[in-house]
Amino acid sequence: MKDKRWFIFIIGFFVVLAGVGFWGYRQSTERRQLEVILNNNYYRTFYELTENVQYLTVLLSKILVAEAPNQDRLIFMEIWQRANAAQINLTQLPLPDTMMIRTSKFFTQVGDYAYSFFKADTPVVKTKEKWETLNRLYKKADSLNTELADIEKQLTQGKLYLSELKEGVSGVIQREKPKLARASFKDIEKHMEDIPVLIYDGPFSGHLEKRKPRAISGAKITAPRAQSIALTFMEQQSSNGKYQVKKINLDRGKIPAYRVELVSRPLLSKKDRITLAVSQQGGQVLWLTKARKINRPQISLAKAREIARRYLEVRGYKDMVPVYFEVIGGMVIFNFAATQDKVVLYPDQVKVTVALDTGEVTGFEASAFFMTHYKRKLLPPRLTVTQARKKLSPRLQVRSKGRLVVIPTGPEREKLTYEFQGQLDKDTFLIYINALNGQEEKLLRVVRNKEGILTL
Amino acid sequence: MAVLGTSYAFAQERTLYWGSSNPDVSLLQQQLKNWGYYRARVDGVFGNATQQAVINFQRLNGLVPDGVVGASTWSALGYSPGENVSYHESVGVSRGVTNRDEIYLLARVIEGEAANEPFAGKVAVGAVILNRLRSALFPHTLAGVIYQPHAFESVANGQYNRPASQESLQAAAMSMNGWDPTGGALYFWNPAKAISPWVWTKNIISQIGRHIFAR
Repeated sequence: MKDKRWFIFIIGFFVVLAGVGFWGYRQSTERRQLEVILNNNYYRTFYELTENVQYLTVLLSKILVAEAPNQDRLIFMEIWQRANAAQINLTQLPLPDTMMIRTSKFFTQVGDYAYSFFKADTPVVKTKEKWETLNRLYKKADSLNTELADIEKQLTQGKLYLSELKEGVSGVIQREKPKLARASFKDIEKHMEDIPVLIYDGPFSGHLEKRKPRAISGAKITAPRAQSIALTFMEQQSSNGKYQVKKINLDRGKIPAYRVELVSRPLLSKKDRITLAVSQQGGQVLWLTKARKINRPQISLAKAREIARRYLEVRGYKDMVPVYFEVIGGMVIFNFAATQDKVVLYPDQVKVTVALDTGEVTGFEASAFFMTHYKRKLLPPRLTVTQARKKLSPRLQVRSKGRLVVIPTGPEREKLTYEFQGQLDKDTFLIYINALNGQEEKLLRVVRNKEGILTL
Repeated sequence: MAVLGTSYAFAQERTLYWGSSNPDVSLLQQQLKNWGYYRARVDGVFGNATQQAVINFQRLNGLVPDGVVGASTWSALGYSPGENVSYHESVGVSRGVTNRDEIYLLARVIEGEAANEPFAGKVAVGAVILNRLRSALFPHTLAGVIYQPHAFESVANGQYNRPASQESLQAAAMSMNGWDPTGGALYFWNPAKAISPWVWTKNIISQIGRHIFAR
């Protein structure tokens, strides 16, 4: 009897053991499969990167000897594409996001630089300086190519691995354990130290990082002065009530500013905190945020727009026209553009958010406005609106009269254009015809949904 | 290794207009036909049908619709560019017309990274992500920035998959519309957590809530 119980116990033990073993085996195979899938993805990215860098190197060497303008343009276009693709590949590798920033910048700027040649209105001219720059970029790409080829060799020999999830080789018997490829990438990054500063007409050009705000001037203000400016700004409309300063910091962003934290007086809710920034130079209110729970919408969009317009007007923003709005999370964000002699200045925008339950203004943003706003020298248009309208595609059903607007066409670049709204089937487009030479400068498609629409 | 696709090797400079009749006209007609502007026979004679096709082509390609095939029209057709060719900038959707899916994705990352931060701190996290988009150092798409390996802790550990709160959604929308409490920061970190000493070499802009912002 006793023996039998023992026997059952032992059988039971082995059944459980087998079960656990099987489960463990399943788990480990599954894990290995997942690792392989993940690693394969990383390897694909890596091989794409090496291929793109190979092409990039060859193209950069070709551009040094190419002479025909159309040949140039083609090569520059391909450099642009290859460099962009390489940048995408690089940023998808499992490396710390801050580790490869110089290499990443190299790809971005080479691509952007090439694109600036590609899109230039006049035939490409490779001046001596530009040729030298291209030559240096070629040298960089060339050594990068060699280094990547070296990593590739070690990867195939199993001496390196990419992901921190090792493939199942973490055995004890291996004499030389494979190393994480991270160190090799670090070397690449180190060699990117002396890439030339590239200045050209493109969004990633070196000089743009140091852009100064155009509309900020005057003397530096003190912290107490910033506090009183903040309070005046908040209390300008009596319905907003009274406020008290909780905290003030000086931030060193693009526009150095005092960040002032306010609470309402008397304190209504602990979370009811308002933050606004007052520029150190000139004492301008740059932005404001207020967080609170927003309840069911009670007021119409038209009402909210009027509240926003009035809010700006009281604070000295005159002649602003609403250009766009968006409804989200119980609030509406209005974008207003400045005008000059009735011409809409699209680059100079101020934004206001209105909570749709009570109509309270919960946000204000003008730092972009202070970066770009200035009095433009607008040349009189050489085309009339009727002449401009004739440049539109005959397939479009034109829906608007057309108005004069200034649009940004690149960093630090603007053009005076006529804006038309047109319809093709159910799609709405905005077309911008240059008011001086009749060229179509820009074509935008308006995406409408129930939450947002471009207001015209 | 790398072979460049050769361009069309026609050294085409001749201007064509109504009444022209030569092999180049056939070339023109063929190309216009390929692209669906010209429907008649390719006969090498520049007649009314050809002229209409040219004008339509010019209109839709930002050229002066004069029905004369000069250097710029040849170039737009894909043949050798003459002087003063204008290429169009890549056409995008206006900054104002935002993609809703992107707002929700951004809101979830804000929720994951800054759920317990003050509102300005939430907007600031959104702004850092969007500043990266415009920086040469980082990927140039929102998904690229958010899913860059090792970039955001909440993405790496899956926490960002929680639904976003109303506040995070508001913060996402506001950062998309230009609010940037950090004044151009590219990095943020919580000094109470274990972090790489490398971050302290960056230019610190400010501290909002528990996060330090730097560029």
